Amino acid sequence: MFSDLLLLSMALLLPTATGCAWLLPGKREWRPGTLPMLLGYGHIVGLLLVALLMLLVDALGLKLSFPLLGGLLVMVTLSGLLLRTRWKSGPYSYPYPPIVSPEPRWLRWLALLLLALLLARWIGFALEVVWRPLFPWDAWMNWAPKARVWFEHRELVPFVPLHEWLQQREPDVYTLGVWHYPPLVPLLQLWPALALDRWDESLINLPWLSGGVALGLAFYGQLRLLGCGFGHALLFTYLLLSLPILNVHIVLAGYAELWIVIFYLPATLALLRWYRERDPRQGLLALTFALSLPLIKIPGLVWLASFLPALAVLLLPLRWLIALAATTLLLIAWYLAVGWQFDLPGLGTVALTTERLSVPRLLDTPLSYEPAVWAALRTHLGLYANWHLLGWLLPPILLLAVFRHPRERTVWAVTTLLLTGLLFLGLVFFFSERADWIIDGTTTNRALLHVMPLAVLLLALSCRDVFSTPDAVAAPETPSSK
Amino acid sequence: MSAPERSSATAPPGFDLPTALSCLFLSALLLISLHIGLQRPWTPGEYRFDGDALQLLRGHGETEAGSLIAHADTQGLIVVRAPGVDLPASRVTRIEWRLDGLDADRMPQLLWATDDDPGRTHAHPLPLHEGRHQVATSELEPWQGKIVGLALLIEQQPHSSIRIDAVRLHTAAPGIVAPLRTLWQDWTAFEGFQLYSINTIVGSGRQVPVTPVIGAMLWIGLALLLWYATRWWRGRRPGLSAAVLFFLCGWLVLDARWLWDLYRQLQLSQTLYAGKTAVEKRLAEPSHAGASYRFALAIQDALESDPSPRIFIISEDRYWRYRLNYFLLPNNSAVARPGPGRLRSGDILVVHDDRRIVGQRTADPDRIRVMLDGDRPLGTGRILVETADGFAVRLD
Repeated sequence: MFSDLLLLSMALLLPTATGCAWLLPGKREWRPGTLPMLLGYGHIVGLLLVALLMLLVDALGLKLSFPLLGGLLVMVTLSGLLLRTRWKSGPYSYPYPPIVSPEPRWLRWLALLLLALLLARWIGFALEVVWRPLFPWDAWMNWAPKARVWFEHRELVPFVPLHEWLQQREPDVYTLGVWHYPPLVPLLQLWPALALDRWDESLINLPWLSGGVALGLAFYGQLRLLGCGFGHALLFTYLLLSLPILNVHIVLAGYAELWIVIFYLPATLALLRWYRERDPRQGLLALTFALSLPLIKIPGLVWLASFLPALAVLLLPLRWLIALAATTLLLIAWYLAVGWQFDLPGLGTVALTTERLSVPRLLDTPLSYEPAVWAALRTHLGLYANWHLLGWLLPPILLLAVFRHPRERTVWAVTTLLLTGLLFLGLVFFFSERADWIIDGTTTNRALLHVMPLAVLLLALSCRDVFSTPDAVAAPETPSSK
Repeated sequence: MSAPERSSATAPPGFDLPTALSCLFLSALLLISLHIGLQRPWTPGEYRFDGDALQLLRGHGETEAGSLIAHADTQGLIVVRAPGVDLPASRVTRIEWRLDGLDADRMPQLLWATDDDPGRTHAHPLPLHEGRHQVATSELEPWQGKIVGLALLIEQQPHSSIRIDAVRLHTAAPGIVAPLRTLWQDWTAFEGFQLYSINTIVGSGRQVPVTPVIGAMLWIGLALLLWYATRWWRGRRPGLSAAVLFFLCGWLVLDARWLWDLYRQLQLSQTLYAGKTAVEKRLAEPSHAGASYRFALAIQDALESDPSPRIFIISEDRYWRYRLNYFLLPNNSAVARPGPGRLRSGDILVVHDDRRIVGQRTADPDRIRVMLDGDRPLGTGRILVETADGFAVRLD
């Protein structure tokens, strides 16, 4: 029992230490929010590093083991610390004046109450995760089987499609319906099992619990560093972490959706801080997290691509943006009116029409409008408890973003990111064969979970000073905008 | 480097906390009053189903002047149901069946089902009291949530007849407490973690006319109206802060409900899983989750001494086949129904509830011939496991 606790603590704390060692800010850079940001991002970076190290060790033909991977993590940690002492962080340290955000006293008391509610919730989550064996459907159907097999073999033995498996004579080649899914999620399940040196259907889920905590810390820390006061930042962190569907994906661990949130939202926050402070480390974090999205789930490619319009909003001059928006609208109008159809020599026909999307070797799906999806969305966003009030708040949040801080590129960028995500989901929900999964409710909230946390971020950016007292000083948008 | 943050008791522009809280309180009061007011149609005092509206589930009969003349079946049974019953248990105080012709030594049984578990029928004797077969609902257990089924079971002499004039459900005037209790019961119905929970959380009984989310939105909407009215009356700007505060309060109420649900689930999980080994936890899982694991354990035991390079898992039940696939890991298995040419000697077929693949006995009781679609032999092999849930066979 005690040794399990020790090993699991090491499995969770060692990656955190590694991540923190590489993200450690300079002495003069510490501000309110730096510590939670560091711990949150540090843990996520550390877990990502563990997964990458497993891929590396396996590619080198070595057996996976906790001592080996742990040793490598210690080395990476030490090299991070060494680099930190040699390479002083330079001119990026907080180039604009700090935000003074006086908050009413009641808000601070309320924030403490919300913090207590979050702590109580997390104690319950911890017990539930430790007690409950792997529960939700996809966890034991799609994700954990790979981890289970890799644990037994101590190597990342291949999974192939059924027709290949049937012809195989190799005993160590396995098959699974989703053999082609990316490896990050099963690697995260594998890590605690390697630490314990046994397969434990409950404890393999601990990264979901710690990942949820890291998400909260990263969100809170970055909000503080983006200018929210203690009360406001905690209030919006509470709104994020109390979303029932997010809670369920932590406590009924084993699905990939939580990890999309854990990488997508912090990537966005790091992007905003990179834009405001021009700190290359935040830019690197944003890039790393965004590039990790396809390692989690195939739709991660879309979420990676969704940063392009957001980047355009952040970086392009206004007249370029208007030209880009006009071009996009023209292309959409052309698509709706005529569409595209042409031959690619040697590949086949590309068809982008309102009836079919077809790109040879990549995508081929008929399109048809399914009006019943509206009812499903109304039910899941507006009637059921999945999102508390966030479904109802979505339109006001978008309006607030437009009208409350109309000149802030960061707000516009998050709005663009959210709208891009919703537009993509809307296309999939209403026009593809996936509509059935939306109508029967099996995918609706899971898919929305990828982007809905951005709505909480947008709310936080729009209302970051909503309860602040009149003498609050607003921060300038960017150092370069002065 | 950074300026210390200051705390201040002054309010943001356009914000007045006491007025905002008063609006919230008043809004809640108005909605509760409205809810109680809407219960008025319940005041007449009874629900009545005349005999000719009742449905016979056992026995046969005919209607006569608004009554049902029911004849017992060959086993002496009559079961008669009040159709379309769907009403809050708390509103009904007494149930009365008006019968005539009942054997003197027989006591009918009142049957009912609640929305907690509509498939489960509860029973209670319906004694003769003041010349009528009636019972106070306070004596019935469980009489809670919504009543979704109501019937009467009568045991008579075979082929004897009785007359059923009506069933009356007496309701109390709703008062203040009963509608509130109903609302409370609807909104705090325990959902717990189900297989669908990873996809959606309903947050109340699915039949609730106003879900907690809608209730919270009504509360906030009305509070906002009151707030804007007071600001307009005083000639002041409404501001955004109050709206945010109102939504936060609505969110907190919904979250309190969610936390309570989580807490009750935690208690249940503690009972099911805490302090148990991995095997005990799996066996403790409800319904067929535990059953599929038990079947997989039996196969695992058989494979321990004699592992196989390939296992095919065959079942028409999607849950079972993928569950078995997971439980049999790290054995090399596939969820597939193979054709005759695909199988090799030593392959194991695990079959659960599949109409296309059946096992036929051979002269050797330990061996079985596996047939696809009745006439296509897949092979013959030794039985590894045979239970009520299925069988596993190693092909020669």
